[in-house]
Amino acid sequence: MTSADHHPDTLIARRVRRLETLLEEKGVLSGAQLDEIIDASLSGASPANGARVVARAWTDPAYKSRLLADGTAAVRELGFMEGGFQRLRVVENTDETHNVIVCTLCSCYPLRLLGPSPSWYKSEAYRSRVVREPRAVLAEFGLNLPDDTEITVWDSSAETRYMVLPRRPADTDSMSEAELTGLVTRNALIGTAEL
Amino acid sequence: MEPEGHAELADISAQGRGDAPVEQIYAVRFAARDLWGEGDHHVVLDLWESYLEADADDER
Amino acid sequence: MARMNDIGGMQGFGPIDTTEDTEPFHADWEARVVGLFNALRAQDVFNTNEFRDAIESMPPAEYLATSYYERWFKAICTLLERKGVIEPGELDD
Repeated sequence: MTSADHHPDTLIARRVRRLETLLEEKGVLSGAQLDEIIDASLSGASPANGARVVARAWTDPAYKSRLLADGTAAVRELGFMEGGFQRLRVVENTDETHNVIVCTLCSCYPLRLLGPSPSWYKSEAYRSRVVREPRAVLAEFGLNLPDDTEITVWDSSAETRYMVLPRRPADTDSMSEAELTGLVTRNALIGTAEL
Repeated sequence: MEPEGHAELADISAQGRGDAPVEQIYAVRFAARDLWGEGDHHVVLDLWESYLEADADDER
Repeated sequence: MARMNDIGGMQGFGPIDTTEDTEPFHADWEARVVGLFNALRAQDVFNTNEFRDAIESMPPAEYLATSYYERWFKAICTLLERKGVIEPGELDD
């Protein structure tokens, strides 16, 4: 992050407070409303949610078909309603294909299923480079894919949000759905990691 | 290329007008080579219908 | 029409800092800014597309030099001024 985070941090913090005060004076918003909204937008947003969806798809082939056909409806079945977006599409990693997600224009992202987006996802470096040289970018994350693996990069350039369905790790046949949930990482749901 | 739902055309809605048309959005898959002349991967972009031109030579 | 945020495929950005964030926000003001964004949007003061447009209209040098949530804050202020909710310069007192 830039040095703007630390030094003018106090200046920006003052300006934000000043704006809040102004808006309160003008009757547009209250501090209490803001507190509520801040809590609400983060609560319930967690990669554990995406992990649950993945574990269900791994253990229930019919659910997996539904998930890949209509991600929005399928995650709703599990009780996850993404407030901000209208559509979710889930893309499956296979032995031949690896998927990775980006929003080149800003930083769109299925927040409720993945939790707050990491700084790197929002960075100019990631947004500009992953569409052009995904193999090199994934290597920076420690993921080195075989040369014959096809890579598809999904750019959330409109209203659809994307999530990756990672490959199920080997030797997990005896695991319960709950145990499988614990294996799934946020980066695997974005496509910058494998499990 | 596949249909990817409908939404208000962001370019118009960004102007704060209430009259943004709702358009079909398509997920369009490009080969990296066609975009930048290099790369063996593919990129899928979600594009509003009015961003696309009909290609008279194509049969769809 | 290409703008500063339209950077898919643009070259010259270096390595990615893949460090995990310890928290979603580096400072409280960032969380407050997200709250402001959501609250004002919920009240239809502006919509998401106007908001993105305000960020994307920033001069390129400013865009690159401004941190992520500070861009959000600037965009909110721009829109509030444009809509007459606050006066230009009112924030600077």
